[in-house]
Amino acid sequence: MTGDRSSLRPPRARLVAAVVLWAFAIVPAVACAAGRLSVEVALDRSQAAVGEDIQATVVLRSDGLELPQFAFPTVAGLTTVRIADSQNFSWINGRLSRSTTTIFRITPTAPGRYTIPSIRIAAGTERAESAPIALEVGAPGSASPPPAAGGGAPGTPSPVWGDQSAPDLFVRLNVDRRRVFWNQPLIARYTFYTRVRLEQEALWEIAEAPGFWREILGEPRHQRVRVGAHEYLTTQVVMAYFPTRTGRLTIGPGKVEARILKRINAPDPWSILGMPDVRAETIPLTTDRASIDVRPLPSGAPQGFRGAVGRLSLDVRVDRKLAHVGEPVTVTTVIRGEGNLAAAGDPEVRATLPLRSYEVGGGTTTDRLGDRIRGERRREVAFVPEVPGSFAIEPVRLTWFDPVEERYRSQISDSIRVTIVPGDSTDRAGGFVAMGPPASLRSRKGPSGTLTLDPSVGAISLAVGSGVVFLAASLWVASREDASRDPRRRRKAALKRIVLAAREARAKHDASAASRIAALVPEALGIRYDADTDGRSLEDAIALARARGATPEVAEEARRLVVALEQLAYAPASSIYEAPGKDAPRGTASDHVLVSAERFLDRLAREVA
Amino acid sequence: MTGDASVLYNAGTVALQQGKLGEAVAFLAAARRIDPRAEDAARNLGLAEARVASGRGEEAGPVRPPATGLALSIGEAWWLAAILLFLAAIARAAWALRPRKTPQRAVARAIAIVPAAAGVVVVTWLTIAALGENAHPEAVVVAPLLEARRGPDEPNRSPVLLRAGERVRLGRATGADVEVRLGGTPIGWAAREGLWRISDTPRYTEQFESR
Repeated sequence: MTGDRSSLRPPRARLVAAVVLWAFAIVPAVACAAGRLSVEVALDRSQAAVGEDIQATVVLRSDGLELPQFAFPTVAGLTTVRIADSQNFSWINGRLSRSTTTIFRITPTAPGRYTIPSIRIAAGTERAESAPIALEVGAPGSASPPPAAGGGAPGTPSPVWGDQSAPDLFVRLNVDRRRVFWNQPLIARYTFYTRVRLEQEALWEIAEAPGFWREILGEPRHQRVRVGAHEYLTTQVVMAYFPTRTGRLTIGPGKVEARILKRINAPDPWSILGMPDVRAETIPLTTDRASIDVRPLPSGAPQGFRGAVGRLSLDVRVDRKLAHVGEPVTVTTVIRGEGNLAAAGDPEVRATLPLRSYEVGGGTTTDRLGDRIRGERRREVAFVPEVPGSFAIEPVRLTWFDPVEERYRSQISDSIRVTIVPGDSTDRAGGFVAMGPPASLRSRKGPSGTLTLDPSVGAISLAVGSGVVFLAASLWVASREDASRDPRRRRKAALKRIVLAAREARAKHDASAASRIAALVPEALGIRYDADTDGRSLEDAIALARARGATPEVAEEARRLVVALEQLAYAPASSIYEAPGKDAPRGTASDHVLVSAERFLDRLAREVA
Repeated sequence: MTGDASVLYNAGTVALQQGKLGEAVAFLAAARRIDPRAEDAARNLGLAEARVASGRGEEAGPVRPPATGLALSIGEAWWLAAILLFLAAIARAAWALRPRKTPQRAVARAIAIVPAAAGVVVVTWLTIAALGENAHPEAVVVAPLLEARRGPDEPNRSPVLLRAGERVRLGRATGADVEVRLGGTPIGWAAREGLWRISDTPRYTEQFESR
């Protein structure tokens, strides 16, 4: 019946009912969750000059959704401007926490000693209050470099360089707290101020800090700020320091060397460039030291405390609550928050049964980009059950010291029960992965082959044989191309072509053969004796050949042959051949001349070889 | 070692049906080495590997069997390379026999260079693969859980648990143990009997069927 009634209810009424139910369910949870509340205020320095900008950071935290509004206290003589806000939500182990960070710019308008009162906030029954903060403001320009300058001569380190009332360069070291507990991080800011041109960016030498373990937070930050009546460009290096012993420890001094460009002569009015003479000068500067009072942790540390200091939380999870025999169950512990995570140690993870266990992963990731050092430390432990049944991961306990509340805190996870069923772990995989049935078995014989990756003998023989043929052909082509580039061989080849042409002409047995062979003789002479006879008369060609080494006998024979061939060419056809073409008689005088000329050409070709 | 792809496929499929993922992956991977275009072997190997991944706690998505269309076995790839080199040699010889610069000579030259380059690339790739396999043969974990622990001459090292069906490569061997490598890095030493080399799987088919 109830179901019927709800289905008859109009949709709008159902929506309203859902909202009311949600409100009833969530509001008490939120009210309960509005648990711990805190507010912190910090200034970036405790001394300043009139007109100088000071940065105040207000951080509100609550372990619930509700986070109250606040107003920055009004102080006569200080002008306050709200610059930026940021919010952060986190949900850890079912607990919601929220924080807001608000940055104010404070500008003193009159010198004096000021006290910024507490900021009070309240949410439900929770109340929180910040500590009052003192601020000392000097006359304009007087308080820029915190300590009095010690000279400023080049080469003599001091916090200030230049005019004392409005220095060109100075450095400062600010720490966010002077009293800390052992292993509680403190933030130090090394700031370099300049209002002169630098040849290159100033380089900080990291300060000595015996008794501290340190981490650089992000890259150097650059900013323009106004100090007194002047605007400076600043370079700030932020570092986190973790004290590793107690007592009075010292940070610093930080050292920086700036190379400034100093004008030593006015521009030459007669120079077309008109550039002044500039010289680079190295100015060493050092900050003051910061004295830190490191207190030991209070006595009475709970059992299991391994040195974790900060604001931390623990998260414990297992990868499965149902496993098969032999299947590893992985337990992951994650410690998150701000503090000395790298040295915090991992909480002990135990099972209720004596199981084989392995450390299968872990590591620490740290976020060093902001103004705080935070991160998470992860560890994975695998337990391998060997018999069916069940076992439990015992509650994991993390104990740490909270330096803000100045007390030890502990977080204990719930016990996690894991059920072990018999069978191979692969059965579980088969049950969980729905991918359809495997393909069926084959009834036919399949292809046969080798399982190694080595080549077969046939393939390698073919490849090697082909390679040999390829190489041989390449070598042959290369040698032939080399030969074709040899001038002696080229001449010989040309003479051979002439001999062939003469032979072809003679084989035709026509009247033009004699004139064609007569034209070939001077050309052959020129090729044989490497002389350019192209277009020259017979006598000129013979003279050139003689000049290049032809014997008088050769010259005379060439002349005689050409004359005979020309006579043959211009003689009546009937006096030479009985009939034209192939019916020409053998052994005639004309045949004798043609054969002699061919032999002469052949002899020239052989002489070149 | 030679094997029959169908025998290996059937052994792998039976192992998969029995939930023996190590044996299934080993047999099916061996079957695919011989016959990479067989779709049934690709599908069953994809199923087996998805189950191995699921057992490791990884997200098991839909099975995507490896592409089988143009896949070549190693033997076929070697023959392809040899034929490419043979074609190149024929074309080179034809080019050499043409003394004059003719269009046919230019064609022969192009035909010689392209298959020669392709053949050299394929041969180089296959040679590297063969040398890698000979130095560090591929193997499959067949034991349900296999502990890769510190070696005899190594500093302290955390043990690594391997599951059935995971593919690894093997290194040096000492006694009953063998060095196990993942991603080119030695991760520890494990018992030889928990690992099957893929190239040795035909040796196990009868043994598997008789069980």
